[in-house]
This record gives sequence, C-alpha cells and structure tokens, in this order.
Amino acid sequence: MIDVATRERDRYLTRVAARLQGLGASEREELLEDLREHLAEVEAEAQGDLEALLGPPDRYADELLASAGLEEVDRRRLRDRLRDRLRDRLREFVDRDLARIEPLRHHPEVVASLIGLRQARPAWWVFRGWAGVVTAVAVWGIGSHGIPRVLPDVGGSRALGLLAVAAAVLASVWLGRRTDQRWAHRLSVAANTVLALLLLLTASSLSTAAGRLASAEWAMAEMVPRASWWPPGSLGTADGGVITNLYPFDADGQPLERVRLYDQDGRPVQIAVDETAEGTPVITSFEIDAVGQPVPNAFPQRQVPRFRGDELPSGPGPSVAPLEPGRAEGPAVGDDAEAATAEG
Amino acid sequence: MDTAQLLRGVLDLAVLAVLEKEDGYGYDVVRRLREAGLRDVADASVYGTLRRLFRGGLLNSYVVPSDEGPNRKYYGLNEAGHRQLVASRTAWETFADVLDGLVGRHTGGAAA
Repeated sequence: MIDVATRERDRYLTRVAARLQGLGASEREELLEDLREHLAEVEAEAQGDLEALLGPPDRYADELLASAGLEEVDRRRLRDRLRDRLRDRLREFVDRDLARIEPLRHHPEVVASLIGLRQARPAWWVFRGWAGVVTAVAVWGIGSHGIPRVLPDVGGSRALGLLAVAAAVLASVWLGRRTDQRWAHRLSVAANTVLALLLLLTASSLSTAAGRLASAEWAMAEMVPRASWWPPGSLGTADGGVITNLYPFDADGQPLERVRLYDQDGRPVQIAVDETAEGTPVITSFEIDAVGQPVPNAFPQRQVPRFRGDELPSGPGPSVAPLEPGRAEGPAVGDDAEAATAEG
Repeated sequence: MDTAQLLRGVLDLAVLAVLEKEDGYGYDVVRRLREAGLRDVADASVYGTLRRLFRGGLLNSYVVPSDEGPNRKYYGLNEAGHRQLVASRTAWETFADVLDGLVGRHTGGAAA
C-alpha cells in the first residue's frame, strides 16, 4: 500500500521535474527539495489520488514556476540550452570532423597543390586586374551591346583600354604582394568583392545579350532564308562581289528610304545577311509596317554590327552622281508587299 | 469573479500574514489559507510562493523531524519579512478602502 503510494508520488514528482527542464539543476533541486515530503503530506491529509487532488503534473509544474517567479528563468534557460547544444555540436564538428581531415594537410599531394596555389597567386593578381577593367567596361556598357572584349575600349579608344588594363594589372599585383599587411589585406578583400560583383553583373548582362541575339536570329530565320542558302550568283555586283544591302537613290542623287523592291516576277527582293562582305558580323533589322509585320524587301536595310566597335561600310552617300534627266522606269513599288505581289 | 485571479496579486500578503501568526510547513500553510476561507488556493501556488519568498530573503526556514512521517520544512518571517508584511498590509488597506468605496459594500445594494 505504502509502496503503491510512493511509486505514484514518484511518478508525479518525475513528471513535474520533467516539466522544469528549463531550470538549472540547482534551481530545480531547490524548488523540488521538499516537494516529495510536501506531496506526502497532501496525500496523507487529503486521502486521495495525487492527480485528483492537485491536477495534472504539468499544470502543477507550471503553477509552481509562475508562483516561484521562475517562469522567465525557465524560458531563458531553455533558449540558452538550445544555443549551447548548437555550439557544442559546432565545436564537436570542428574538433572531431575537421581534425579528421587535418592529416590530409600534410599529405604530399595536398601540400603540393597548396604550394601550387600559392605559386599561382601572381597569375590571379594579373587576372584580377584585367578582369576588373573588362567587367567594369562591360557593366558600364550595359544596355548597348554589353558583350565584353578581351581588350576593351575605354572612351571609344583601344589605346586607352590597353592603358587601363595595364594600370589595373600593375595595381592588382602591387596590392597582391602586400597582403601580409593588414590594410592591404582589407583592400584586397574589398577589391575581390567588387570584382565578384562585376563578374556577376557581366554574366547577367551577357545572358540578356545572348537572349537578344538568339531572338533576333530566330526572327530572321523564321521570316527569310539566310543569305548563305541563296543560290550563288543570283544577285551580285558587276565585279562578282556579294550584295549585302541595297541603297536606292532618286535621279537627283537623293537617297531614298523605305523603298520596296521586287524582281521580274513581282516577288519581293530579299537580302538577309548575318555578315558583311568583309565578314563583319551584323544584325539586320527589318522595317515594320503599319500592322506590325516586318517588311524584308524594304531598302536600305538597317544593319548594325553585332559587336561593339566593329565598323560597317556606311553605304554610298548623296555624293552619288545624279542620273540623267528623263528617268528610267522602275518596277512597281507598292506600300503593301502582298498587294504588290497580287498585282505581279 | 475568479478568486484565483484576485488571489494572484495578494497571495504573498496572505502567506506572510499566515506565517506571522505562527511558523508553518508547506501543506500547513495551504490548509490554514483554506480554513481562512481561500478555498480555491492552489497547492502549487502556495508551495511556489513559499520558495520565492524564502529565496527573496523574507523567510527563514528550519527542518523539524516528524514522528509520523517525513521531516517537515518550517518557514517563518524574519526581520525583512516582517517589514514587507507591514508595507504590504498598508498598501492592501488603502487599496481595499478604495475598492470598497468604488464597489460600495457599505452603501450598496443588499437593502435596495
């Protein structure tokens, strides 16, 4: 009988104590010090089951915490213990798991590669200087063509670009050789961070530019056959050259814009090249008509170099000699390509 | 109204008052509070309050061996406890007067 009561009291006490986990051992002990005796009194005098007399042990413990003014301590301790556990886990990781790979540091191959890395530092310094200028120029040019070049132009000048790269490389190497000093180390970290940022920006602008190029090429391939698919010799200059664009002029030598050209059968004349006769890559953009459709036989076509800095022949200027008065008859030129085709 | 809620604010005073009359052990204090009319007083609250007042330096304690059962830890007021009781009692009387005036035990409603 006594044994049963004692066991029940112990169980109740254990569950109360479990609820007080957040307290430190000494606080918990102090709080529970004579709770066993206290519970025995309660049981003896009230003649009953503890849980029926006092309510569930959890609630009893909560009430105990609150009235003893230890609720906050309990909560704080729980937090601290969680933090301590995390810290211990981390320390364990550092002490044990990292210690496990520590011997590797003395492994000949690892040592060799570490030495290699150290020896490669000058190469990194050079790269850092060069990449800094290239990416800075590329980021500066975002929105235009944004494609970085190995030797970028600075202010439209290749010489200035070369100078900038040389200066940056020198500065980077100079800094790299002084990183054993605290200020230089900090500056170096800052420079690397800036470079990382520039690289990121350049990469994102590159992907945008690539997307733009891809969509331009797709649109071109969809609408017209590429110049390279054209039967050779179908359109050419008198000296056997390749025609990549057409520049119509009127009899007074004034250049004409938005001229539609058709062949002998009324088919629109189409030229769509992706490089000039000299081999400079270009992007051809077509005139857009009133309903938003591209007009591939409108001339002259607008061609822009695919890469910034490339020069394109600007086509003949108004210097072309005026024709004789009594002008030649040209083919029918309509505003609407389809209407013209129907007529033809 | 929930007595337990009212009690929360004045349990310290009640426990100090009980111990002023005579030192007592945990369950003894609970019983005397209940006998005085605080039927709903929770065992854990009294036990926790005793521990807190003791930790706060208002009580002294000593263990008395018991013939019939376990040893009992007795609590009694020390000097600081007495001072605290006097201060709390003054505060309580003022507070009770104000509430009496507000709630109107003397002027109010039984006769109405």
